[in-house]
Amino acid sequence: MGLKLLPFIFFIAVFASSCKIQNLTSSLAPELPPGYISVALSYPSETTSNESKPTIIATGANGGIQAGDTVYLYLDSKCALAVGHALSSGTSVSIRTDELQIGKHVFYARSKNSAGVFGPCSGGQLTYTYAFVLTATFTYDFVPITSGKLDYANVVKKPIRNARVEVKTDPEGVLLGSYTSDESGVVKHFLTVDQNIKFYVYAEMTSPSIVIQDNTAKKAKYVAITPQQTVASDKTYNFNFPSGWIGSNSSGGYVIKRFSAPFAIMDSLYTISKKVLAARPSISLPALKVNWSVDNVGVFGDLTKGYIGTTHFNSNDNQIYVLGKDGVDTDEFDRHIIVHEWGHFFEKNLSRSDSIGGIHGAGDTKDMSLAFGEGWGNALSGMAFDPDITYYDSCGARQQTTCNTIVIKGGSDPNPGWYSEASITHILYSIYDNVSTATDTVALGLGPILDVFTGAQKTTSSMTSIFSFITGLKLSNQSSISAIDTLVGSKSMNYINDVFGSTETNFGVYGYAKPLYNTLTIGGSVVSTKLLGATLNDIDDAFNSFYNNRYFKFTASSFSSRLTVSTNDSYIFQVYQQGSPLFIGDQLEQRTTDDSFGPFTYDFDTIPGKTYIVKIYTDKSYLHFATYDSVKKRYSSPPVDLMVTVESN
Amino acid sequence: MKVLIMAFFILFNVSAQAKHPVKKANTHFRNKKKERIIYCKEKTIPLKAIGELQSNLLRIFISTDAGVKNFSVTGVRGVDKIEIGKFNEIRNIDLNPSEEIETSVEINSRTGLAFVVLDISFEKDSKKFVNFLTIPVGELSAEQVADRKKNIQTIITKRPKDAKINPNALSTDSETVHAMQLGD
Repeated sequence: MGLKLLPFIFFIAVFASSCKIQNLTSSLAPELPPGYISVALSYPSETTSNESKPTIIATGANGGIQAGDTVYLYLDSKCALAVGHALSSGTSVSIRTDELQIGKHVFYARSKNSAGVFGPCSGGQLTYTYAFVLTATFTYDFVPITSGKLDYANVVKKPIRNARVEVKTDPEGVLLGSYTSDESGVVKHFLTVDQNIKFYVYAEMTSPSIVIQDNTAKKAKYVAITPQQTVASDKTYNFNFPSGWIGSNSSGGYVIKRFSAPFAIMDSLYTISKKVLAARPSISLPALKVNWSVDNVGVFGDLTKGYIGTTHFNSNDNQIYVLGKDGVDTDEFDRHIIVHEWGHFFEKNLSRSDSIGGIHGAGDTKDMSLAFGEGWGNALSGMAFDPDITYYDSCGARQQTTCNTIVIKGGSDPNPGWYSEASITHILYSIYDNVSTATDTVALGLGPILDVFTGAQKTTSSMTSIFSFITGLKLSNQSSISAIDTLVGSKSMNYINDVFGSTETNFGVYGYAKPLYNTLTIGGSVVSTKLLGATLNDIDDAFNSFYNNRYFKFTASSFSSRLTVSTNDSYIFQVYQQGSPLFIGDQLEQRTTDDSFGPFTYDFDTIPGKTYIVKIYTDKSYLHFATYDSVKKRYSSPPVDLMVTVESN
Repeated sequence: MKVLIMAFFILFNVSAQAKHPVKKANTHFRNKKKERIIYCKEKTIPLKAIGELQSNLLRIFISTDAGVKNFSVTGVRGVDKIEIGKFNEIRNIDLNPSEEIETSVEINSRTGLAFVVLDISFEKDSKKFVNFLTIPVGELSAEQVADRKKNIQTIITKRPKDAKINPNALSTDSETVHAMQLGD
């Protein structure tokens, strides 16, 4: 204390005379003038809390406090309003304040030496707010699936995680605080005055950006609003947003508003987003909008009317649409379906999909890109909810029917191969999981899978398929090559050695797909192959069947190339370079008469050394030579012959 | 410099491809009308139904892209404000592509937009499916339109400046929300 009484000039002289002392002093209290006391919060840890008597540490290392001094705390800069004091045994002292008033406080301090002389009033660095604390926990009714049906009798209250929550005065609507709910669905808000408030809980996350909106009503985002709360003290709230279902599974119904549906969708998406980001934190997920409405129904048409056809990812607007029509089909609680669609979103935005789209299902013999994309969606849903690997689609009256069941690993796969989405589902999930079987000893987890999706799969010169994926996976996980080959081999495929499936030996029953990519040589001879066309067999002749999709590859040697196609019937044509189509829209060549048809030439710009993929497919509705079999009541046609050459132009 | 010129040339050609992609010979050229590319949940079924309302009779035409066996309509339900009368049952029909079968449902009464839901079963690739075909009937009534809009609000949020709650120093912004008021 004595030093404080010495003239200020004395300190200048001392400090100037000794760099050593000056440096030492700087390191201990670099900014404080002599006699100065700093104050800092000791307890609680946060500067806003409901602790009415916080503990504050006063420090006066540079002579501000000495052993035996009494240190006083004040609430004003003139050190008139004392709120506590303590006797110091050194250069700092902890002081628990007297009971504070609700509100914001700034603390000051000064010391008094044993002679009763006060030092200067200093401080002002610490602002502490004593407030009411409102602890609100937000949950939603999750309706689980039991045996493929929504089980309203066993609703689970789940936390609304990572949601945007706002606290506003009511009825004025002044924003008091904006928060993100934690993993338990909890938000804390502090109030310093008695107020009427409401909590606004949005079906919206900011990181990653996901919003659940109503496509039948101006794309309005869903927000659940609590009743008005009058706050004049600490409060704990538990708000649960119900499913709206009243009664039993067999006779109940949605009687009140379906609060929980958008939160259930958001939570499934949070689950998979979190899992992906945990595996690969460097991934930047783009913003996603998900459209759900109680009026979303299985009719194709105007999306704004709710005619969404089915739950789907729409690559045109990059959004997901989810069914919600009670008694027909609702998907908000069919969580594997939600993640399946997110898988398509991921594929389009962070990887690549060359899928042709169209109707598909287990047992189909589909185009390789379609089969891969659908299998990926299914497998990812299993990864999201591991170990729950049964994908259910509940539907029907009271959601008490099962429209689809997929056992993601080890489920039905009636026609295994690279064209089977069931095979792809099984392979991708088996690469992820660590449950070994006789043919599956791969256990790479999600990270390496994501690496391929965002790397080799995205840039492959082939079409996206199991061939491009496995090639990329083997390249980056060489110690697992043998196990990967065994796993792939368990699904009626040969081991995969390159993105074009050059080693594949399974070409289905018609043989038209052999090889998977026909190699064209610039200026080389004609390459002949076929498309299946229409058949009396009702399985394989869809436009997205692999039998009606044929691929050719060539490496350009000049800046312009000419492709020539000779054929006997209608076909559709496109050229790709790393998945990007060169033509605006697929080119249809439709035969409408018996007159001569073709050959057709296509000139397009190319880059020497780059690989191009030519895709030729057909749709039986365009075939000129299809004839109707009145007995079998089906169309059939001869195969569509294709003779293709490429030359520099 | 040569390299730079070449790089520019390559870039120019790549970008030009999209706009002037093709020179065609000896045929007309038109783009195939592409459908919206969607990626559906796994259960997509190869069946579609089109309804045609004639007085109180809804004629329903069912067709398939891929061919199904043992197709049955096992029940008919009305969803929303619609009452269903008699319907023509369909049992175990093999339905082939390009073939259409017809059934009909009597509509006793309806208001606005409602849906007739056919409970169906069928087999494809030796696998049995249970599913639904949904046929919209009518158009949204004024009451239904109002009902869809009733919870849509524009929330105006008043944001205090400088973290002070001062009604004279507020900024505001707004967003359209589907408000779900707990306790209503």
